[in-house]
Amino acid sequence: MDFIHNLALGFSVAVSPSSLLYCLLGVLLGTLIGVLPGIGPIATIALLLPVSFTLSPPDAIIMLAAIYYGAQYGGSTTAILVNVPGESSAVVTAVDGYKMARQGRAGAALGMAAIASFIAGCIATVVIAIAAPLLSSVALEFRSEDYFSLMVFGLVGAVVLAHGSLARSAPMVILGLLLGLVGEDANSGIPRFDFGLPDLTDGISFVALTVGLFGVSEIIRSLEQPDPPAVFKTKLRGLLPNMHDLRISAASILRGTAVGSVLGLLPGGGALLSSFSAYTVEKKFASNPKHFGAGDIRGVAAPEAANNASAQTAFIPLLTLGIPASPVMALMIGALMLKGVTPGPQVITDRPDLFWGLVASMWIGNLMLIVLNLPLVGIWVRLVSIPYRYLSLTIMLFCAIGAYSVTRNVAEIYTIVFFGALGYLLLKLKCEPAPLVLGFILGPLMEEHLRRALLISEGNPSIFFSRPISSFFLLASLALLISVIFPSIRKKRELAMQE
Amino acid sequence: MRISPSADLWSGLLFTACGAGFTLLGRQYDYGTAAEMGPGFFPVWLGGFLAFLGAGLLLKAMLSTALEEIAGFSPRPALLVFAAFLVFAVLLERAGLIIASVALLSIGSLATTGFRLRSLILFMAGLIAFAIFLFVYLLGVPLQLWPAIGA
Repeated sequence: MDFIHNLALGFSVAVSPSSLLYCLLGVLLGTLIGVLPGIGPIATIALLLPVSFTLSPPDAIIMLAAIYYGAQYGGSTTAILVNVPGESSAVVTAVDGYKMARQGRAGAALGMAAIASFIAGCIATVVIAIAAPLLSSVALEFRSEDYFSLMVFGLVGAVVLAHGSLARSAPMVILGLLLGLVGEDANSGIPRFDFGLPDLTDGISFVALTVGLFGVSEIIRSLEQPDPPAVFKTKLRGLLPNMHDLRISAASILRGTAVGSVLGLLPGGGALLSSFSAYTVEKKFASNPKHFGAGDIRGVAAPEAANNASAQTAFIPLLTLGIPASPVMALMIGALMLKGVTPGPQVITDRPDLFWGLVASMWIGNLMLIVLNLPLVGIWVRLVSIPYRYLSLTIMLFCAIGAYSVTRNVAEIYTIVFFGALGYLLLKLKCEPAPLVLGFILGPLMEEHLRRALLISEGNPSIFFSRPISSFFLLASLALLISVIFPSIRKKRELAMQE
Repeated sequence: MRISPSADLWSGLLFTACGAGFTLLGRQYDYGTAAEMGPGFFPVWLGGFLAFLGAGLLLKAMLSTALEEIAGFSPRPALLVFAAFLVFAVLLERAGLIIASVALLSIGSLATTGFRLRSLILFMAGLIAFAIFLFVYLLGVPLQLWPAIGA
């Protein structure tokens, strides 16, 4: 059977010494930045793009992916132990997890988080292995008009599912698309919006843009706040949940995995929305919902399963359609393109080592997380108490040197400052930067597909409705928009977004 | 009617201005036709749409009564962080990595609280040494450490 053969190929790539090493480095670094507030996976992966350039394509993507799911893991560890969610996706875990820790059940919560993440990771790996080849065979049929409509759907999804005000995330996407057009036009070779600056001819540097928007603005925001108060010390007794915990959580883990797997596929879905939704679903299913918020282990199991599952299924649209569902996935595209691999339906057939190696490495990475992190918990917790002054200076220096290393051009640092200022302003205006980054990546692609589609149809826009795939995506986008404008669903969305 | 400065108002202004800017600048490029899009086609449409959405936000800000206030700006850390990066950029290729890093960290440290001079100096020395080890020796980025003499 193909499936078994492919997974065998994947594991042969993923267990090679170099892949294992980079997977290990990735999960450790991911856990580290997940634990530390003030730097997230987006800025970290952006800074590591130049580093990954020296690796083989499978090693590079394996390491970057490991950072992403490792960060989900690290974020929940500190959420449970000290009520400091290192990543936003762990906010829900802190609710019941920290309560459990106060009740002396920190070990059970941590163990459950690890077990739930691992089970979800295993299931999501199988989902990717089955769904991605199917989807990519469909995607091979895609024409320009289908791609254009798919991107419209992706961007509408990113807007609708974005965390925060809808009226402010829609213009963010458009602004991102426009910023993506800066630089030489692929078709005519004319440099656009470059203000005569030669450094802008190749477009705005993606690394500098993400480091500025996510890294620098986050440093400033953290510096504005006083250091968090001293953390509550907790004793760890026994790292494993008991049989009763496991029995009542089994169904929650599976439901969380299902919720996360589906939301991970959607553009803008991501880990945060997945963990929130899974928690809401659990409350609905529970016979005694009052326990939630008071240290219910299911309130840890479901969101942890969901955010891990979504972190992995988010790779499906990336690897099959070449369309990123989140800023992290946009960075993965950047990493692949740096290595000369164009993400899209042909990746699975042209580079099976890359695709199946990544799938297998996710399973191995999850295993590493569960084996390594439980003994390392003490170290991670101690890291949280490092005063922010040390972290902020370290992050600043590494951002500056790291961004310069990409092209060895100081213009990168000026770009960081520009987007750091923009990011800070947008943060104050409560505009979510993630949709902008998606737009930035898709801008040139959308323009190209629009141009090709309209060239074929001789300028007639009805081409977007004459093909079933394209019409489907446009109708789906419309349905998404209507569902948000429709008041009752909108209310639910706002409820789910509340922190 | 009094319009209070809300997140909607300011972001609406920002988006309208950006949209108008991109549209106006985009008009200098060849627009082409729908069948043969010129380099100006897509930006002009997008810019117009952005300005439209921005105007919508402005309208919302004027009509709405429940306004989301903007959290207070405290310009000091922001300006110090930007200054640290800018000075680093200016110094890096002229004075070398070490001097540029010292400048970045010194300016950056003014934005932090709780450093004692002694621990700051020790921390800076350790951090710069680590950064040199990581970027120059481990990753092989050709960075000049000191000012080039006679250059």
